[in-house]
Amino acid sequence: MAAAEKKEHLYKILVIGELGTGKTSIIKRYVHQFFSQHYRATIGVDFALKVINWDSDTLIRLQLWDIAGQERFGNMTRVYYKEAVGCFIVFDVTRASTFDAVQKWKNDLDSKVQLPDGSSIPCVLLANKCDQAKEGLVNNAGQMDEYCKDKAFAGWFETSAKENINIDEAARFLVTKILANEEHMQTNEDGPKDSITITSSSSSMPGEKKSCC
Amino acid sequence: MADDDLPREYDAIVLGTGLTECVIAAALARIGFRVLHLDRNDYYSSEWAVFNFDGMQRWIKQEQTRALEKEAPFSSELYQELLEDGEVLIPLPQHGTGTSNVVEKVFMKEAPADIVEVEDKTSKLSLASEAAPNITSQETTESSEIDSQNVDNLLQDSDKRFEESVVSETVSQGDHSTQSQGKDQPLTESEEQSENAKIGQEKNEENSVDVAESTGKVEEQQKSDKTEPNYDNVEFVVQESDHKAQGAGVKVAEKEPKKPDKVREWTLSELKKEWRRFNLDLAPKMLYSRGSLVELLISSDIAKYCEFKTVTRILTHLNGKVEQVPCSRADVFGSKAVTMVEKRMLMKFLTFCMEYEKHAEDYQEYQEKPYTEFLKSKKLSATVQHYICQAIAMSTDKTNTIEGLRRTKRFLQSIGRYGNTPFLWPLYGSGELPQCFCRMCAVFGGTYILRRTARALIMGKDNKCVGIIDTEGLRMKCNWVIMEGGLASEALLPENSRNRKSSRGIYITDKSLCTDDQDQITLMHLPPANGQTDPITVMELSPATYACPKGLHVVHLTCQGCNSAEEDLKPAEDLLFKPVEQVEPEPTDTRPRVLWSLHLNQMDNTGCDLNEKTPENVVLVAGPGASLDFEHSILEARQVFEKICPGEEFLPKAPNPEDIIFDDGQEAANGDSGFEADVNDEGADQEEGHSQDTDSEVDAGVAEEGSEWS
Ligand SMILES: Nc1nc2c(ncn2[C@@H]2O[C@H](COP(=O)(O)OP(=O)(O)OP(=O)(O)O)[C@@H](O)[C@H]2O)c(=O)[nH]1
Ligand SMILES: [Mg+2]
Repeated sequence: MAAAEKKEHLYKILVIGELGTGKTSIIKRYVHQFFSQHYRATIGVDFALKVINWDSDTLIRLQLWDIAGQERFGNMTRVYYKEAVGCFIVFDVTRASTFDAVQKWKNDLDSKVQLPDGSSIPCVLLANKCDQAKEGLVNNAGQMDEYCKDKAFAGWFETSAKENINIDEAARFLVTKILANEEHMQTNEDGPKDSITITSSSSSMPGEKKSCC
Repeated sequence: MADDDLPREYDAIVLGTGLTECVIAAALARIGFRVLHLDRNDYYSSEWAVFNFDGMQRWIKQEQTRALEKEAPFSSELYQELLEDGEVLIPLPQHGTGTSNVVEKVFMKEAPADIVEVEDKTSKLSLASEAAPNITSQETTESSEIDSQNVDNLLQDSDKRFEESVVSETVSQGDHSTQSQGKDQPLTESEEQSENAKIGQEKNEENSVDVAESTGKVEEQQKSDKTEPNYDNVEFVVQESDHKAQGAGVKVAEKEPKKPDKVREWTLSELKKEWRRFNLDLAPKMLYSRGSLVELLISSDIAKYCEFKTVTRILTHLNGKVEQVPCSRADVFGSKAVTMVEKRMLMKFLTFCMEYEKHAEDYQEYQEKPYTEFLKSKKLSATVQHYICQAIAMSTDKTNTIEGLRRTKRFLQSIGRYGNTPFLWPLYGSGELPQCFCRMCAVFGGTYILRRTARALIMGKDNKCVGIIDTEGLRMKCNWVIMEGGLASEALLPENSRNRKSSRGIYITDKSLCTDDQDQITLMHLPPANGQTDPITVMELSPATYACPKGLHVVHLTCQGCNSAEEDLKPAEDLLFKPVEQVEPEPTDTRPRVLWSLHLNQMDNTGCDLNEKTPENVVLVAGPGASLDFEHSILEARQVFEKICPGEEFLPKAPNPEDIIFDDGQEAANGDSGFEADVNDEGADQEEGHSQDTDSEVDAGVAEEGSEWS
């Protein structure tokens, strides 16, 4: 038996938003440190995995679930949402219409997935492509803060997948919220936590597992 | 919205999101086909769908509307400029539906007018809403709107003891060619598919089974089989559900089966407040633990998207009573219902059935004779005969011996893999399974659009379909069209395809059929009633499956359709439930009371060759049919896949995302090359000790080895 077991968390995070806002680019940038103007969608994977050494005794594996073809018209299957604990909603600062759709995505999210205690999962708004000229509300930081408070976003960040601006910061912020939720939840729960842990032998699904070495 | 970016050319267009269509769509996308998958509804799973209570109300309205509306005649002039020389259109019915005779009934008071009395009676039953205020406070606000709408619709007079609301009695088997094409009445929301996702997270999962994971357990069990004598692995088969209530102190009345008056008296408005907590299946089905769907879920790794519970008991109706049938070794051993002698008989006979093919001499002369005669000849007691014929072989007096033996073996083979019955039940309902295949398809590049379907097929030369006109008026090219048989026009369907139907009843009840325990998932068969040849299937789901809130049960009855579902199922209802007409039932009557029911008929085209008349690259597939399991659907999906791409592998395991190493050196050098995934065999996941190879070994082993009865 190892004396000090490193705590390992596995979190499922959704990345949603309108077409072409940069969801895939953000994931690629965050996980693979890479940006490309032209590419095809990744085929054949549910999520990209980012491993974070959070602190000396915590390892965090983030599953970033990109939306696949079925979500073109916002018709998500339940399996996509299932067991998510955090979410990024992405809009494109150069196209105000993508900001208008943010509310629709947030509603869809909140209606389809909730934390075990019934509260909505933490959601961070990403104003992407901030390396370019902005259009609409996003030009006014004060109003954006107000908007987020109003619509129950945990916060918002101006990001650029192209220039690698604020993506690590936004992820760190979201993880902090998730960890806070988890602490809160644990104090509220007496029984074993098996209700959230779902593991299959070949690929880990979100939940918590102890490191084995 | 995003139509401009929508590609106009596909390898396959799939219409309808029933299980068979979804499995085919996933299999095609998996090997690189460009797939467009459309569904005219705003929910997934077509006739296989599962709804919460609110979603079910909308579905009932939708079916009612569709059955009544006449379709405007199709005018091909509208689409002329989309056609090329020599092309013609085959219009598809827009309102055609395989569903008919949809009748909803409510047997509850509308509102808790006499709530004081109710609460008094059920003081032990703290409502879930009291126990978990943070969850329900939010729901209450949302559902109150629905309450006021629907209560008004359903109940005109709340003073009557029993309220009956016939929402639709329309037979929609009408002439499809004359039905109107107008826009379907849009359903306002599509949330019912998913909004219950959260409920599962707060509840207990203790006997939920993860298929892939459990293969490991099975291996262990097989080891123990070898080292230990028979029927000793009780700890594996017994699924004692330590009932962990979602809120503190929730006691359910079934704890005291002797006092039926303690059963909570529900009102419609109370039930509607819990609308999110229902998952009501249109076509409930169970999985054989060693059936083709379980094997497919494991081999394709789609199992990672779904969760199951084991069916906990097989009941039967014997001498006027409902009792449990022992079917695993441990059950037979521990059963109080049969004598020691009968136990030995049963053990011996079931062991024989596992390898009956090797003992042809034992049954040869009975082969074509009824199974019941063969059982009699084996000197089995009447009770044991009943168990085997009705509960285990799920057969009738007419079933012949060879078929009876085949069914008995199939049942026994699946025992012990995950539990002490052969069956699994999908959490959130069997309508969840098609969606798992949709996700797989989408991950492999398939595009999904709901609320859209094909208006017409475009026929080119040589009787080949070259594409579709969709309901937005877009021309989409494709090499193959795969569609739900129920969506096809008369011109495409064989004559006999509308002859068969299944009759279904969904019942919300106030207690279990057999109340000695809770959190049960039950399967039962009743002998066929008038005109039918197959037994009637009874499934009962407890709140542990998320089918309904605590304190309620959901019962599904299914049989072949001879008349309307209401007529076909009446005898079974009379047997199982308290009479609804009776205001004050006999105090000794411990049967459950029906609070709400829905009857419907579905077209059952699982028995005919649907593709006699279709163009060679248009494939019609069957709906769910009346069968208990998924075998027909999976077999059909495989056949269609084999027809479209002969020799290709059917749904191979997808690479594990955690094993994928992103090769950014190459990527950086060539920005246009895309983000191909490289599967690294010696991947980073090694420390967890489950490479794909070990998995498939386990799977193969499991498939080969028999059940605990072998
Ligand atoms: N200038 C700039 N362009 C970006 C940025 N992020 C993404 N893009 C570009 O925007 C386009 C769309 O990006 P994607 O990452 O494909 O967007 P998406 O949200 O995944 O799109 P869909 O999957 O089609 O919904 C691509 O051409 C990207 O190169 C950014 O931060 N700045
Ligand atoms: Mg993308």
